[in-house]
Amino acid sequence: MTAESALQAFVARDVPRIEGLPEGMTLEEAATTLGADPASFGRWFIGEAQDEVFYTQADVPGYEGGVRIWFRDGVVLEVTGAWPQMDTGALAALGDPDDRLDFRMDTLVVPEGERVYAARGLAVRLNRTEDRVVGLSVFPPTTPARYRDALRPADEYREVAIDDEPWLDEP
Amino acid sequence: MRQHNDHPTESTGGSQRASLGPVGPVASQANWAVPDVRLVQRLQTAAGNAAVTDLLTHPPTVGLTLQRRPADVGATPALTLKSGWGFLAILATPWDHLQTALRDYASLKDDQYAARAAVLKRLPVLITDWELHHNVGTAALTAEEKAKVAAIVTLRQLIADEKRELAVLAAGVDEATQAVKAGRFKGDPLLEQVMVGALTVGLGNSGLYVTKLQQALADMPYLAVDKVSGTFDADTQAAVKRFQRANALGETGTVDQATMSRLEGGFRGHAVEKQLAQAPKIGPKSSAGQFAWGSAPTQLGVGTRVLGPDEQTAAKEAVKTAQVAGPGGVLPTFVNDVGPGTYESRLQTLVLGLVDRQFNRLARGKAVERTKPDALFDWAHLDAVAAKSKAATDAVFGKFATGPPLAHGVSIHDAWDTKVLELQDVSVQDTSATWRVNKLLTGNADVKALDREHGAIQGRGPEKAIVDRVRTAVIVAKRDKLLEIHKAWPAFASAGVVNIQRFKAATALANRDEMWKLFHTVVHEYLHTLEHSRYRAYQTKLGQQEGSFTLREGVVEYFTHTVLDGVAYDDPLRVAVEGPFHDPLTKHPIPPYGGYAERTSAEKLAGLVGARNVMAAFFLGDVEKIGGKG
Repeated sequence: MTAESALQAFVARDVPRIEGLPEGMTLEEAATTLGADPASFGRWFIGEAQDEVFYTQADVPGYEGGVRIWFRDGVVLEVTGAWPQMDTGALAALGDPDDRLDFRMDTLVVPEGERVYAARGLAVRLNRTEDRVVGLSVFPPTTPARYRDALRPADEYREVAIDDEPWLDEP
Repeated sequence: MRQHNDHPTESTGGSQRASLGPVGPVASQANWAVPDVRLVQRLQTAAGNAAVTDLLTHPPTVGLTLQRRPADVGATPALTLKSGWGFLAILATPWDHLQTALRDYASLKDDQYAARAAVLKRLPVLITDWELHHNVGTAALTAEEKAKVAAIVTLRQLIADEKRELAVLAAGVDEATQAVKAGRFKGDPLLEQVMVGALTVGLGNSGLYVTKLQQALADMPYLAVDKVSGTFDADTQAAVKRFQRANALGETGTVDQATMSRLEGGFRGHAVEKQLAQAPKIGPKSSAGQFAWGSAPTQLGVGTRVLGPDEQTAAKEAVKTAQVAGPGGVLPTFVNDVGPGTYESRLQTLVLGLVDRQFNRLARGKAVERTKPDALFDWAHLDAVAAKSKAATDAVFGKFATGPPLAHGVSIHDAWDTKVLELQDVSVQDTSATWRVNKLLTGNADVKALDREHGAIQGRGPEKAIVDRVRTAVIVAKRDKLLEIHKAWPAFASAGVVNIQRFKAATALANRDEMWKLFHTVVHEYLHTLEHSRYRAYQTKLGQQEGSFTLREGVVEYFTHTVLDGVAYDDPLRVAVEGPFHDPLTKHPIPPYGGYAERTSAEKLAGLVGARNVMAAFFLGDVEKIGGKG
């Protein structure tokens, strides 16, 4: 698996073909393939320990919500895509996931909505009614525990206050 | 042993002093075997008679004392054989019990309200016990008993004074109307009494309120930070005198109304915090991101201090936002019908009206506006505003941490587009409608006022059932409007991305307002990106009301105000922020920035542990400095 072939499978949302990302993929490689600007990035937190991580963004056809490349020290940790256009039927070929995790969509927490295929380097997020894929993530194949503890970007939703009303926010 | 009062003394002419009568001769310090604190000291000051001295000076017998004595002839052979000695039990007398209770009282700190109340409740019982024991009122008394009766008369009067003071303190403080305005001193009943001139604080006083005064002096800085102890000592007195001298106040070394007023005034505009943030003699951090834990330059830790166990507990309490009883331990009583209607009917009418108001203000006509490109702000201008927000923030906190600039397409997205995408999902629609109503129920000022009027606590049994019914009714009646409001909400953040609305207002003046609001919002959001991962790990593990909300939003709001209060709104900044709406002939009034009410909780935390400790926790991950564990 090369960096390019791994990312192409992700871009195509060709789930059975996805085998995660190669270890040590550089930000430059990912940014070039996905069309992101590596010099323009944001900062966020990842994993249970809330480790520092950076991300850059790419507009990738087939992902209505865009694609984010998560990196640290120039190495890609994970690539996530929001609202991929794909059929949930493609997930049948993956078999049972290694883990199921809660995740957040806007104000909604979807219980066990994220199916983690850690050994394949893949995680799939489905909406509550499981009729729509709302997120795809690829990362170097790992264990379910390591995915949960060290690779998952932190979920959070917060709103700006207006007048006297405070933000409601939830991690 | 302390030479002076260990409680805030009444100011000259204060109403409480009047009940004590004329000040009598003060017993010499050598006479004192009991610490001269609070009520005990008042006894001495007010009475000064021999009986009072006796009451205070003779050490009490605590409980049952066993003394060895020769064995009785008739003792059991076993005991006699064993030691040749038996034991004589001496029971503590009622007078001893009274003295012990006074000692208990003397050992308490001024702000241990509940414990003080408990002892004050016990003292009259012990007095009565002594009186019964000595047949006071029914038999002739000895000279010693007469003297003790005189002492008790004084003691009763002083207990009444203590109870009056405690009642004022235990009633708590209405933070909205209290005289103290600086967040770090808010809600402290003793400091409020100082602020209104009813009490003063001086040598010997102790408690967390003294810690707050010392920490304020240390932050300014008139006191070395390692001298913050919770006890008003000679170092504190000297620091107060330095502060008074610098502020042209009389150098009394006591914190009186004028001193307190000047001290709290110094913290209203966050200039102290700004100075502290900029003080370290190092340059700004050169790369985006945090210092790895433990690798920050030592200069950034200067001015911080290690917390004692009491301070750690108090720091954790300070950041909690759960509704709790006041110092007096009393929760309001729910009254369903207060006259104008029942709680349920009034709450439902109010919230339905608020939804309409929000819809008209935020969402009406917005779907149509989205179809007109010239009705939206230009991204390049928005990025320019965001850059100014970052520059203003870095100028204050840039030595602790810096982040990448917030920029559209990466860390700033179009809020409307994001919501349209998310609201495709029916489940998201359902929770979002609920979210919008919950936000009104828990955060709106009119709802809070209604709750106060009815004594309602929304999470409590009867009220919760009512609130649940109201929530359901409002969602059924207003679902469509609630979802449009959700779509048009001015800004939100999700997993590190800030989403903002781009709707232009109708006039240039209103658009200038919008740009300044954006400038403020991005300062707040940029600060969120500077949070240290160790701090974040700590705060996310706390419950929302157990401190997470305060540590996440309250602290960011505190720092946002620290940045914004110090911004020089000069012409270059105005040109950049107001952009195409700038009018060189008009100095646009900068709209006030409000934000989270939980900022006050964050400032209370800083008042206890010091602003530098909060900075060290937030930016450097040193959460132990705010009572946490990494």
